[in-house]
Amino acid sequence: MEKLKYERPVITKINAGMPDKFGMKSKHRIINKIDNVSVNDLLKEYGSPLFIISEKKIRDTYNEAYRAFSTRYPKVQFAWSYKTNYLDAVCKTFHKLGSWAEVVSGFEYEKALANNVNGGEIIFNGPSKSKEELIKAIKNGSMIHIDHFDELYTINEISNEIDEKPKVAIRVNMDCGIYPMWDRFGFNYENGEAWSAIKRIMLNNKLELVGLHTHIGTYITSVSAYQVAAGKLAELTALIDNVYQHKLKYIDLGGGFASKNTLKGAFLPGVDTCPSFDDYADAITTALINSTIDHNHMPLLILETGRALIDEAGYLAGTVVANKRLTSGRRAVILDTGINLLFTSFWYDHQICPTTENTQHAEDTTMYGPLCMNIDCVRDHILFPSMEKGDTIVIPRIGAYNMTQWLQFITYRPNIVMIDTTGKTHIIRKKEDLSVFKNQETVPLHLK
Amino acid sequence: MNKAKHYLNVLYLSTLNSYTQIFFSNNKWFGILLIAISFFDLYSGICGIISIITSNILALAWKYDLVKINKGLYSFNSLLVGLGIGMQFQFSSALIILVALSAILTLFIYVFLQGILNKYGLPVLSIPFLISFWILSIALQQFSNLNLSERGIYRINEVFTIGGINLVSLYESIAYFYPGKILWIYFSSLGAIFFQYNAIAGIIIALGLLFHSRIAFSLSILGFLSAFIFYKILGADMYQITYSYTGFNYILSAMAIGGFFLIPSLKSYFWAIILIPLTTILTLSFTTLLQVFGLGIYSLPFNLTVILFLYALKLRENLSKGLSEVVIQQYSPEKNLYSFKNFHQRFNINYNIDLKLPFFGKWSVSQGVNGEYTHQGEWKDAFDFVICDEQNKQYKDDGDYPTDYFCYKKAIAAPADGKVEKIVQNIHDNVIGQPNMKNNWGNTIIIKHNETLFSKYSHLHESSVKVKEGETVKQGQIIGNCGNSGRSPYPHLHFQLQQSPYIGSKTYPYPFNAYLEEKNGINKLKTYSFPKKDDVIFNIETSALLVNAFNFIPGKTIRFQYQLKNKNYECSWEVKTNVFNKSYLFCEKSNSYAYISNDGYFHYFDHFEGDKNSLLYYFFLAAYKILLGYYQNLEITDSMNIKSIFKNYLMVPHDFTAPFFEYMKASYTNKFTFIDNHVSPENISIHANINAYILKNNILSFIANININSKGIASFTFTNNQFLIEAICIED
Repeated sequence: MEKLKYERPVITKINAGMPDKFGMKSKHRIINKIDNVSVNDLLKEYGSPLFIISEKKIRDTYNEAYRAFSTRYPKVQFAWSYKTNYLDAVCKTFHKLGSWAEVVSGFEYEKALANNVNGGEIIFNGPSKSKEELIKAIKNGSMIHIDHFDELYTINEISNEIDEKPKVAIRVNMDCGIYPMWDRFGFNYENGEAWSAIKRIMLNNKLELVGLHTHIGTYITSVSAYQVAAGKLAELTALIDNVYQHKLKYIDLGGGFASKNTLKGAFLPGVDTCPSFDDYADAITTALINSTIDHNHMPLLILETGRALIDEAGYLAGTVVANKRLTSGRRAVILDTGINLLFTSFWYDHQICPTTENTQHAEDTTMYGPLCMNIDCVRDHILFPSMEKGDTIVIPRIGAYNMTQWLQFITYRPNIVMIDTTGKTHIIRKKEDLSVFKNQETVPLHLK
Repeated sequence: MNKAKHYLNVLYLSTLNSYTQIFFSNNKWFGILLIAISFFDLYSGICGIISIITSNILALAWKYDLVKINKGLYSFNSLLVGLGIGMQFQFSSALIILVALSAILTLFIYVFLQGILNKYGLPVLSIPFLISFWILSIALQQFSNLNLSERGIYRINEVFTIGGINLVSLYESIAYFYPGKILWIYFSSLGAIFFQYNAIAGIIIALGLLFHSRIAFSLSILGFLSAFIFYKILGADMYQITYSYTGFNYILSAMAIGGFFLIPSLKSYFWAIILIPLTTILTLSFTTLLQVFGLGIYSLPFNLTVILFLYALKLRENLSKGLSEVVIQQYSPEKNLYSFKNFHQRFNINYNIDLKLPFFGKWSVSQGVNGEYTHQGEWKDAFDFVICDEQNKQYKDDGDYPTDYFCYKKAIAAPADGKVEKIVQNIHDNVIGQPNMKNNWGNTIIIKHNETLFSKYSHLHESSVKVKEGETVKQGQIIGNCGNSGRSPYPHLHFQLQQSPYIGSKTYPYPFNAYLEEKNGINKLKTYSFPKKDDVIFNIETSALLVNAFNFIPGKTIRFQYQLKNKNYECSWEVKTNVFNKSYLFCEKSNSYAYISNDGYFHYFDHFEGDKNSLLYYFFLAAYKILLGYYQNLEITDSMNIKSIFKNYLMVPHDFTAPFFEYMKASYTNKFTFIDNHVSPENISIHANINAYILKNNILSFIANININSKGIASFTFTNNQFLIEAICIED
């Protein structure tokens, strides 16, 4: 007979009877397979830790989002927000599905071009664009979303120097009744700054105002904020038509849709509280359709949703490095997936799932990462079953930002694999090794 | 000066057309030929002209419809009366007065009959001539100053005094020309229409007829033969008709039924042949009857047959099948036939309200026309629409709740402008799988598009209706939300068209104007189609650049500079519109017309008239059908009117067989090849192919490229193996 696995004794308070306001006793979600591919097999083959991306999930989520909008509004276009995840394989999946590219830097712009995105289908956002980058974007016919007057002046300057007519939109910030109100990007709606920018563009024959853009914040769980934002942009659109007889080509509502992750300090889990794509779509399209925009010239609705499209498709698989007991008596587990790979753990209480069911009992645990730094804490408190060294875990919903904001600190970044729709796995970013760093570095001769 | 010119032109046209009108034609050369024939008897010819001019001057003075005057409609009956009187009586000043008076009488009778018959959509034909001529025949026996013409009796003497024995022998060879019994009867019957009782006049008319229309000519022979054979079968004497000169009744009836009032087809030919024996019966019976009064029957059998037949035809319940009446009369069986066929290939049937799909985005058809569940019997022409995901599922999760269904609460939009006729919105949405059998249609909206076209939307979401009864709605306006009320087991939109404003009315088959169908990732254009079960369909999005380029507003002038064989030319087109509110491009230099229609989704060229070497003709071919939305790789196809492609001499043999089968074909295809920017495009290119086939052999092919910019049509090229035209728009 095989030796049974040792189970450490655990003391927990009994919660019998009626469920309290937090629901029934917590049950651990086990993730041992992603798209029918065994996580442990993947870890064996590609090493731990490992990022796993599900192509099927990307497609399903995109289609759901697109359907939510396109069945409510006649012209809808998604633009893939590169900053959320600019792995080429991910970007190309979105482009294949019909997404344009939304980039916020010269680097991302280059990436989009390298991914064979037509220049006319790149939206260039962000507060910092160099003159050279702007010239390149204008020549490629990209849409430039102006963030501040200094940028507008630069574009004016450029328009005198080159033949191409820049296609510009302005980013508008506004009070949508939510906190915090983002006012650091774009021109304010309420104080007339936005209108003044529009006037300057409209009076300059060398620029073409093609659209309006707003991005009201991030992880917005209130759909009414989008309704207000869409309504305000629609009013501006109608006003521009009235005053200048100029019909805008599009309204870009940006992104900021919440994913199903739970924010730190949130009372209820994100799965239960976050609006669905249908909720967002309903709010936005209702506002646009009920607006005073000329019915025969409804602008294209562009969405730059990033997080809500990719978060669910990304998983981080890792291994338990060690168990520890802190002086307070609290249990601690050291994982090989720290904040270096999980930047989002600064703001989310990530769900962490074992890959096998060891025990039904859970204990309050602190999850640390492998870094030799005090801040490397993935979860402060989590009711977690006991784990042993070498046991594996999966952290779901990490597709957004982690593969762009990750830190290369004291260790190499791991493999990233994609499971395609047929269940085959492909490495889409190779694990780093010393040569990556050697390539970039030079040592002055006298130190060699 | 201009006024005089105008009236002269009216007199010229109306006179010429009075002659051709008798043969259902408006061919100028045919008209001249007929005038010449009428002057075979000089005085008869003069009387004809006098009566035409009298009628038309009166019609003009009383400001009757100028179009009808020009067509000779007010005067062709008078012409016949004039010719007849002129033939019967000695020419004298009294006769001239009589002819003028009879012309006025005939005109009055025409106007009167027109008022009665046109209400029933029937033609007046030559009934005014009949009545007027009968009246005169009876009355004129009383006048002593009018002498019966003796011209026919002493003709040889008259001819001899003019030209001697040579002329007499020439005259005899003409007057007694005898090409065989059957042909002689045929030709003299034709001649009898102009009161010319000889074969030569008939031969000339037959040739003129052949020149005017191959279809009319073959029908004249068929009609005649049909009568001839029928006489044979019955044992009656065909030769008799040559004495009473009524043979033309068969010829004219066959021409009218087989190819003028109906679109020439196998069926129309069949009826033309079938009705002739009936005409012979009418002829025989009325001849006997009218003999009592000493009157000839003239064209009575023809008039009776055609009017009875046309009236019976109009009362058919289903007009869409089989025999089709000519709607726009072009006075040429060939023109009627080719444009009818082309129109049907391009536009199916004349649906004057363009319907778009009543929703946004991609929807699927879960039950189509004649569907297996509920679209049966009187309600067979309906559609059920749902939204499916990529796995063809209509819902997420388990589909246990209406909210799981993708189409639930989605906006429903008006497919065309209209007025809200009826609303029901107080019925609860059903639990999945439990249809409400009591309120069959559930929450419903009915929109009236015109007097006989209503659209109905059922099973809507409770209290979701956004419009009020009596309110007008615009195409694309949201009217309510998809729901699950009434006899609906799961959320879907039931959409149907009907001819009455009631909930529960029977359905009416009516297609959607144009939409796109997605199959395996490839878009296919559908025009005037009925979506089928499981089709994934969506509305076309137009592109402002294309809409602008093909928006030909009357008054606009487009100037082109073009190069052909290293020579530079210039031409300009003006956009004009006629009384029928039909827009066209007009090139003054080449006197060419290209007629345009635009349904919001497509720019079409309908028809071209004029110089086939003009730039306008090439543009007509190049931009025959343009989709106003940019869809890469979407192929637009269309069939062309072969008359606008093939040379006339190639058409002649084809005309004979065209009512039964066509061995010549011309097709048009185009594709968008370039767009510089999807958001705010400034340049779009279209590549078009025009191919002409004889018996599937490609004998002609053109390639055209059209470039469009923000100003409109920037340039186009047109080429085949022999030449290349490069045209650049220089001014809009």
